[in-house]
Amino acid sequence: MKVRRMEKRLSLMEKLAIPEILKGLSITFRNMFRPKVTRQYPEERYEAPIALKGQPLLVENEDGTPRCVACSMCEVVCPAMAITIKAEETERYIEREPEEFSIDMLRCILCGLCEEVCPKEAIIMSDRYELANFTRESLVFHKDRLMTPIKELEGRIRFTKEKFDKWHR
Amino acid sequence: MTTAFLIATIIKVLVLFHMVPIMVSLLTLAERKVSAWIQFRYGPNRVGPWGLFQPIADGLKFFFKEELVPEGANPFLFRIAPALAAGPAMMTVAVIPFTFPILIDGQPFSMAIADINIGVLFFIAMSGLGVYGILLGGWGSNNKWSLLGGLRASAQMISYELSMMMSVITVVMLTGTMNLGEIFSFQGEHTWILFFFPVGTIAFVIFLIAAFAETNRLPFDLAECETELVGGFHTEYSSMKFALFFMGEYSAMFTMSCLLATFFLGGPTFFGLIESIDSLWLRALIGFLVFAAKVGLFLFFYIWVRWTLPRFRWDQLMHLGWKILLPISILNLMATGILIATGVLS
Amino acid sequence: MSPDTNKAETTYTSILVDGKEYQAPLGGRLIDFLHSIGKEIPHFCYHQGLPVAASCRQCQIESKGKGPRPGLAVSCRETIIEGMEILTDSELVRKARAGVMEFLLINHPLDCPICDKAGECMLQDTAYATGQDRGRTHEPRRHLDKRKSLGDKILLDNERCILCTRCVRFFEAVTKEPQLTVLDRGDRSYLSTFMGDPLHGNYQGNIVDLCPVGALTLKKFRFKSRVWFLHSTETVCGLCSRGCNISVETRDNKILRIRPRHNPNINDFWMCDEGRLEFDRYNLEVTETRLPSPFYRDSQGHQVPTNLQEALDQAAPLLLRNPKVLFVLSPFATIEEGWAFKEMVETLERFGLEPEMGYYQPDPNAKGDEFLHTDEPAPNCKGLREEVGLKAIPPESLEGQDPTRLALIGFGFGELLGRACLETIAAQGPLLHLGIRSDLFPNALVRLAGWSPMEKAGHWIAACGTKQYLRPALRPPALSGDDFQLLTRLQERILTWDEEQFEIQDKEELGNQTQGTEEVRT
Repeated sequence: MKVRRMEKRLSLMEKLAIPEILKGLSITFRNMFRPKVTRQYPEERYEAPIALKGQPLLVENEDGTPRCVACSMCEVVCPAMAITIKAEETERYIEREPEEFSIDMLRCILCGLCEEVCPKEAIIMSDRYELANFTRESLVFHKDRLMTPIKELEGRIRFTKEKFDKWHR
Repeated sequence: MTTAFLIATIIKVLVLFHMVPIMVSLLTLAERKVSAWIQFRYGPNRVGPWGLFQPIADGLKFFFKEELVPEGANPFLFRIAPALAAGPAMMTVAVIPFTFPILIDGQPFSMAIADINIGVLFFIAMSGLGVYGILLGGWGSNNKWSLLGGLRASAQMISYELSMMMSVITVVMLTGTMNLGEIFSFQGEHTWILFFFPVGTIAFVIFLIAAFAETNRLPFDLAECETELVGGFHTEYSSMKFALFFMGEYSAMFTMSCLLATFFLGGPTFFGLIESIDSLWLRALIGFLVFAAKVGLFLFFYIWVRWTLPRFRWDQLMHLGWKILLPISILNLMATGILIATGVLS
Repeated sequence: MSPDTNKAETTYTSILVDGKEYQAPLGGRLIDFLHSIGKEIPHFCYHQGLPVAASCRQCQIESKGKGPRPGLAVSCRETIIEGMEILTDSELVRKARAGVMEFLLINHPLDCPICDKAGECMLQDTAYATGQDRGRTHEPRRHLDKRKSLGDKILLDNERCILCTRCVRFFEAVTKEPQLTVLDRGDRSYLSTFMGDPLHGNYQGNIVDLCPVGALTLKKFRFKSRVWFLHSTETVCGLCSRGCNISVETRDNKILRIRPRHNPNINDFWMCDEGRLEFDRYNLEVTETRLPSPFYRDSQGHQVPTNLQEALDQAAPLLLRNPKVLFVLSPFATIEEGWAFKEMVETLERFGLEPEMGYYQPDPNAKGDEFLHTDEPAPNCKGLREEVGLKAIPPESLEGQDPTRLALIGFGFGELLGRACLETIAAQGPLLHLGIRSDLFPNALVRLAGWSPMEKAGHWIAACGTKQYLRPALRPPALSGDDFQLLTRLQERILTWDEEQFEIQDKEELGNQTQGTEEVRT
């Protein structure tokens, strides 16, 4: 088989190398004065778009009650089995609410299926993306840490309503 | 020798020797800053204003790291190698005159620590010693990468030392002295060696290239090239022993820049402007600033080149050293001799 | 007892279903036959064990030929006659069923997320199959009492009720003691007990199984778990000698619910509330009330946890040095355990000892009725007596016994023995106890950790003589053992026990200790 070598023939100036080196040096020198692209992260924060699927949270109604009725749809749909729910009876008209609702953020893969399946729009993927911590226990989020006032999540609730065409008022 | 002279000497020694570690720490910061700028980043800016205390943080970190001596290593050589790498590079500083001499007790007082007649020879001897630290560190680690790194370093240094010496001898021939103070004062009287065209210029270029190879800087850092040898000769080193290698490399950079400034850019002189100042103290001060500016220029150049050029291949390195730089430097030396003999120069 | 016991003389006729010819039992119920050939006929009010009401109109089919007049007919009402021609999935049928469904859903609340029935709800399944996901009404739904307590076992949600009257018919036709009825008329009708009295009787739980929606819920299971997380095991109830077939539904190794299985010869579709609700005796917490591992009493009188081998080493000499041990087997034991028990005791006889043995025959209580529950509060007395041939030990003969020569084997003594009898035995402690409760005999010399009937496999013989298979529904604790296995290993240990051998082993051990120095070895 014939092999064709595609080597480039160097000109005299290129063989001398010094002009080429100077060319390279000039490029790097000019680069020094171009605008920087680094984000100064802890001070300069990333504003997540509404479509970002961050930490799933539970919606808290204006009167402080959970929207969740512990129907376990998210528990059964969760592909990572990160959600654990225990239901209890309440005195309200909607007679059921979670006694225990925990999301194991070590397991959660932030897929958003729980949000999609929820019949009450009670579990919402928020824009919280800083999910690091030092112990395993601190990454299992219980009801007290998941409950978030509905005001903070309104944008995303509207977004999911359009996205999943939910019937719920 | 009077008491004032003694005190002045002690002060001079202390100041100049402490300048080296300070310069080294600033250089590590500068290296990271310049590389960041070239790559559109900010560089270290967390510790202190503009990250100025970053070297202190680095140093503290080095102190608290665990010291390891690998199994099968030669403990004595392994421990002494970093000192051998850092020591000679710092000792070369002794012969460098940082500015014009001043008068103490009516006697001229050189601003080099050791104002010796054979300063150039001293520098050559010391830079020859520098290879031992790296070679022994590589060999003593009992690690194949370290050994290869050490071997490469020694071969590379020996190769480039030759052409470097040739160009230094050119300077010595042109100035007619081996005392570094007299070398720069000669340049003050005539002009910088760099402008002795063509021989001075060629010597300058050869010295510059060889200086990169001598200090194991990119594009000649084959002794520690990460892609092939993990870390080269310092693969097995940790803690302050590693830091000493680092200091050796950066102080070698510093002394090389000082020598470049002294040999080719006239040291603290600036086209006769500074020599015309009458006050000796003021002249020394401004001369020192000029010298510092020249050294800084070379240091920046070192870093700039590092973040611009890729690494040479081993065969290319040897080809450049033996087949190009050495013949040119020998021819340059002969040309200098001919030019001096025929009286074209001086 | 079964509605179709006269199947023997059934004659078959050929009918057309969806254009295909089938051989159908003449005079049989059409909906049953359609189910048996795999046609899915949605239905709410119809149930095999109940009289037909035909009130939900969901099981409609289209009739073409002879039989019911051409057009729509409810299949639960029709009997099979010759030359029938049926369409089960025609356009007309689908439209009719969808219409019925829409009417049912007008007032049915959208409670699925909070309803315990969701997942096994017939209305939910049918609504899903019908496929109408939006209502066409704008009027407000009717609001009724959502949490009406019907006694201490059952809760009624009137909003969810679709008035199928299955529960009403259950009390009318099965227990023959009507307790529920539909009050008021038309769209205002609702389910209620007579005069609002609470329900009574031992068979209320069945109406929860019957309810096709989530209107009737069991208080004990309410909100405990979604039904799709439950793991169901088919086994036999042990609380009386009837031997009702049950399916035990567990989650995370806890029984949450017990439901009857259909067995026409024993319990038909039903079971009593006692068997349905009293499963806490199987859900023992390990280390609190459940014996986690074998224990023995040391010389200071402390109970020491140990492993099985060591516990057997402790038990074997006890049994061998007491010439007259009375071995009592629990009537909860399976037949297999009965055999193992018998052989173990007979092994002792070969050593020249005179042990007595028998199974504990509890006194009949007054809980029996004409329907399901019997007087005998244990499942396997008949099996141990007739199949294994053990002697019955009545409570009276146990009361006068010296507790230190008793060996009580098996689950259930805590429930079966009288309080006074228990206390006298527990004060001195039986010689040997094999059971699952840790609080029962704190002074026993050796306690072996066994399994409960919900954890083991084996056979029981019901009062009617049917031998029935038990399946394990729960996982036992790690260091406990199957009763059968414990008994055979105890027998093995007794057989291998030899005083001389023990002494020799002792000497060897002493020798090993002194062999530490070089001189002894050489």
